[in-house]
Amino acid sequence: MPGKGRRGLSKDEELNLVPVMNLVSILIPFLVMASSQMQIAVIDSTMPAIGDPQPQEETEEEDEDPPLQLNIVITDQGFSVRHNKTPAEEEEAASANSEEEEAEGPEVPCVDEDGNTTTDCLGVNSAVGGECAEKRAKGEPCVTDNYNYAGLTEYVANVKEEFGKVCPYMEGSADYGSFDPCQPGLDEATLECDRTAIIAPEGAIPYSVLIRAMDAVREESRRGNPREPDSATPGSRTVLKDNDMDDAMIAKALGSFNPERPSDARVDRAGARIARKVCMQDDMGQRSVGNIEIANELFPYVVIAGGTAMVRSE
Amino acid sequence: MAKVKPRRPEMDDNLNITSMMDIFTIILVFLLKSYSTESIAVQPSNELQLPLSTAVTMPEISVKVTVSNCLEEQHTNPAVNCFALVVDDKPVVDYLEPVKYKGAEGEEPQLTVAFPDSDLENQLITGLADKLETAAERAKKMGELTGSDELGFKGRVLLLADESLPFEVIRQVMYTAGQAQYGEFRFVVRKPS
Repeated sequence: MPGKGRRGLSKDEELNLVPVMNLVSILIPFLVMASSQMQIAVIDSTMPAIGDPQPQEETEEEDEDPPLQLNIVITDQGFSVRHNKTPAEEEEAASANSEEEEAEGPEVPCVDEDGNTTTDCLGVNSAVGGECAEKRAKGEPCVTDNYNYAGLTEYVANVKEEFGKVCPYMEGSADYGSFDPCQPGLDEATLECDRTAIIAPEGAIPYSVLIRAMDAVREESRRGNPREPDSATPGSRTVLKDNDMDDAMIAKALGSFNPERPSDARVDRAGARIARKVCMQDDMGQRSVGNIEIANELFPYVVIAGGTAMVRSE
Repeated sequence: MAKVKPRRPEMDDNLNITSMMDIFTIILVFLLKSYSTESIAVQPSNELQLPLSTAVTMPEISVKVTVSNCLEEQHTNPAVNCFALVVDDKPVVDYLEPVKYKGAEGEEPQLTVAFPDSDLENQLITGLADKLETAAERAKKMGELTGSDELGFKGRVLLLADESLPFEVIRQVMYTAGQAQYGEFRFVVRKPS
């Protein structure tokens, strides 16, 4: 008898894995389905300044070199971009516009196709602008989300390069070499550099336009081809082609070249990656300075202003 | 020869699934891990299409405010049964109503949606303000009791909104949240797949 039992045991020494297998093969499709949900991310934004002036204005009103203030108003005619650092020759023209008027929105509506009415206006993409213009002429409402986002990135990148102070953790900054991201008590949010933009959409602007405008001003990643080398010489300009840009847009970008403005000699090195210093912490809590490659940051922090309140009409 | 032949099939009639089991166990562990790290789940629907964005920041758990493009017909339709404004899975506003907005210059009217007047009090969405204030109180108490910054009140809102909604609707939600001490917004967006 004991011999028989032993023999039976030794025959069954392989575990019967088939039921476990069944279980696992049911679990796996379930988990695959659950994990293949939408990939989501978030965009940070701070409190909308509804009607209130920006707090930093009060303290630095008399400053020789105040921080760059970039306001982007989204209207149904396109983007209207203003900043507080107009070049000297445009100063007189802009001086008529006080801060309060700026907050109210654009006095000059952007006109598409027949060129910008002001240099600070970015129209909607001409193709859709035309389509909408037709409808609007008939008094029909037309809502589109096809704005000139590439143009906005372009414009904002120029403003940042010409007037903005690059954050010390970015490779392009003069302080990049001496900057220590791990210094105690450092809060990157309080660094003195220009990286906040104010976006004020009109009430009827679709939410997706706001998100895409925020994408457009955040970084330069969506323009150009990173595989093509920088080929611009001062006084000339190249625009690297991107899937988003058609020939007309490239021609427009090239046509807006102004040799007086040094920033117009910049290459659209969009899509190129540049180094950014970060403070890395290992499992032991040891902090060390590291470098990561990111797209050139423009204005990653966005304040959403209320814009003009819409009047309801019945 | 005659002896060996019948033996071999006898040896191989049991499939050796141990190695397959190894593979599956690894896949299972991997999937379970990625499943648990997902902090918020979003159920896509016709009324809630998150906008596409190039943002890469991962969401963290906080109060979730969902605004859907849900009109009365969809709300009453049992097949859809959506709610316009939902805070942490609790409905606040049932549906939006279609309105005509007049532009600032008094130009062409635009057909969009807005919160019904009954839910508004001077631009403040009353139901949302109540819900957020209780949430803020609760978070503050949690922070006090546990003494941890993680659980405490940080004034952050996760905002999930349909991409076709007009900014006016979003603005009213943001304004109300601001009045209820929530000053930081995280717009939840879809990553291109």
